[in-house]
Amino acid sequence: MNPRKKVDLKLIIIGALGVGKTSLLHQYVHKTFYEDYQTTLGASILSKIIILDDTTLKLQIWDTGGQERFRSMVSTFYKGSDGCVLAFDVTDLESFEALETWRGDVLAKTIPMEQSYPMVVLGNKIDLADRQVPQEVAQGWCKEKDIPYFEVSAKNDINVVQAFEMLASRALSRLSGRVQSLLNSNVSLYFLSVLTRRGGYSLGGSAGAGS
Amino acid sequence: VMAVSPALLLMDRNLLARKQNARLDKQNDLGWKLFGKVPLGDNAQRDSKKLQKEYEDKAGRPSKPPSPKQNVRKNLDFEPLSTTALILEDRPANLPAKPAEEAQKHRQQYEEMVVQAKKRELKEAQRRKKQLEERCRLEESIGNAVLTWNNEILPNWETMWCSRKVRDLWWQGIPPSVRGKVWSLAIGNELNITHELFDICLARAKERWRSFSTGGSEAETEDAGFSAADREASLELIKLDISRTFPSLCIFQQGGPYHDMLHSVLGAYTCYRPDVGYVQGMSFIAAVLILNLDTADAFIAFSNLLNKPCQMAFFRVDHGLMLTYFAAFEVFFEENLPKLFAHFKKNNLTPDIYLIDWIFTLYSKSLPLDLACRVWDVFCRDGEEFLFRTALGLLRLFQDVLTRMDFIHVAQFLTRLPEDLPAEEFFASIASIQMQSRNKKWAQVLTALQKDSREMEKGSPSLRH
Repeated sequence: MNPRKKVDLKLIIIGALGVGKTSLLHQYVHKTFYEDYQTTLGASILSKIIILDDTTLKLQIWDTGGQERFRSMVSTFYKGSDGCVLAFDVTDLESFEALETWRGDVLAKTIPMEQSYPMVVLGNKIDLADRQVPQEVAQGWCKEKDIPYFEVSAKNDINVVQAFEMLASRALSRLSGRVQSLLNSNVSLYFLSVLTRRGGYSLGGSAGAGS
Repeated sequence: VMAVSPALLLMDRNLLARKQNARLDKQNDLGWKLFGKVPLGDNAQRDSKKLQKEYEDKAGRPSKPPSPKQNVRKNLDFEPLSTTALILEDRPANLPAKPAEEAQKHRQQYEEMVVQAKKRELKEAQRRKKQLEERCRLEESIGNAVLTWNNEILPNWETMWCSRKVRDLWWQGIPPSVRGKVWSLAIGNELNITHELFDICLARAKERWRSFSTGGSEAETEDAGFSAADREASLELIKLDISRTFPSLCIFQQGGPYHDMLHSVLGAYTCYRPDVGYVQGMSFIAAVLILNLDTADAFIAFSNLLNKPCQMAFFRVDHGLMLTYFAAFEVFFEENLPKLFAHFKKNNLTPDIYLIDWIFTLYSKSLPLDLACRVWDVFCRDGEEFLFRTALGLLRLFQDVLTRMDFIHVAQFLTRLPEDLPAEEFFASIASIQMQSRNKKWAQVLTALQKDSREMEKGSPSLRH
């Protein structure tokens, strides 16, 4: 029957240090949680294959160091990303307030398109008692920016899969929309091949640009 | 179970013994257990003997006189393990007897099996003996090296340190008991930091911790340019990062024997250099120094080490200068490993993906600790270029596998290096990297690139950002 479409997506996870970016990622990819991750410096990349609708998605997720001072350094890793997880710690108000800057950094590094750049916000560590960021406040900020919000716990595996899949699905539809609009507008096949090579997008044989 | 190489074992024994003498009774024995080894081999052997005995008793053949073969076996200085499972049983009486021919064949097969198993075990015993000899040789050579370092080199440091003989010995790895001293001497103390200065900085750091923990930070907001919030963030960050420094060793974490020392060195540094402050990655460097030096000396080495141009560029996150370092690295990458370089280029594998972690922590996070210390040894001898030479040595060591991998696998491989990295091959690989490109040395290549980037900045300022 219809061969399944295959798409490579590059996602990034960013946010202040210590909010649990590495933990979230490991919970999502490996279904494990450790108390003692080492500090992440530079970038560490994990991959996971998921099936969404009728498409096989090969996710490549970039985990980056979170110290404020590293922002300019890690922002070179945002290039070519298809979506972004903005993470903060619900027990750390500053990490929530920093979201604005992290979001700005990402948007500055991505090419504007008809469909907006996909993001999700994850408020992590809801398993802890000393909460500083009320759910309504985080929800309000996200609503204003039109970003889906998830309250999550990497430790107890709450909502983690849902959040990543939401992002993957938005990134996919943005990428498909982009290919479709190029096809419709009769752009030369050259541009299509450039795009498909970059995104690793394959139309299941129809355009002959498999990866 | 954590595999610990003899070198590390030695280092930590010496180290713990030394530190414990100094801080007696406080941390009774902590750490010994970490590196102690349970002699598994002996137990396994004894158990198998016992099992065989039990089995033979149960099999009801104790009356049988020991065969000559068994006597031979007793005379060997090892006990065959795998033959314990190979016991030729007589056929149960309720089954029809085997034809004589078949019984003969089975006996023959059985004997062949025993012979084979013995051969294997003899080989294994020889291997173990060789390993033991190797270990003795290594320990002896370390012992000799310690004498040479202590009696000949250290007393005549200024005249001897750059001699051919010392450089060669240095490359073999500095014995753990003199490592700290050699590092201190090689890093130097350009900043003229005294123990008193360390005490002053530490006292200030402690004052701040106290004032933040009691919430009375109002009183001392006069430190121009650095807000109370900044400083608090820095202190919080140190606390968080310490908990994430070599977590598997369990010695730097809260309650561990080196926690306070690490905290002191990092805290004192933020008071000594508020313009740099605490930057992630520093905790790893300080931790490695603390494993080899007393706290004040570790602080002196730490501050001077971070003051070197390459470390300053990275820890101040001077992005432009970091890119220049990466570009210089790529010049030597292409020169030494053209095929792999092309593969990396094709797959968009930029050096920042793996070099940031390696350079910031001086390999202490990505290499096994004993190997990282050997890299530090030569880094202290040769300076920053050795960090990049080490990177190329790693790439060269794994170039066959790396050439077959795609982007994601290379990135994952290099950010999580194999834990059983073969030390000698690794250093041989580094040794074969030429730090010469078209007759230009590392420093010259770097200076030229720096000049280029400065001119580009001047020529077209719009190109920046």
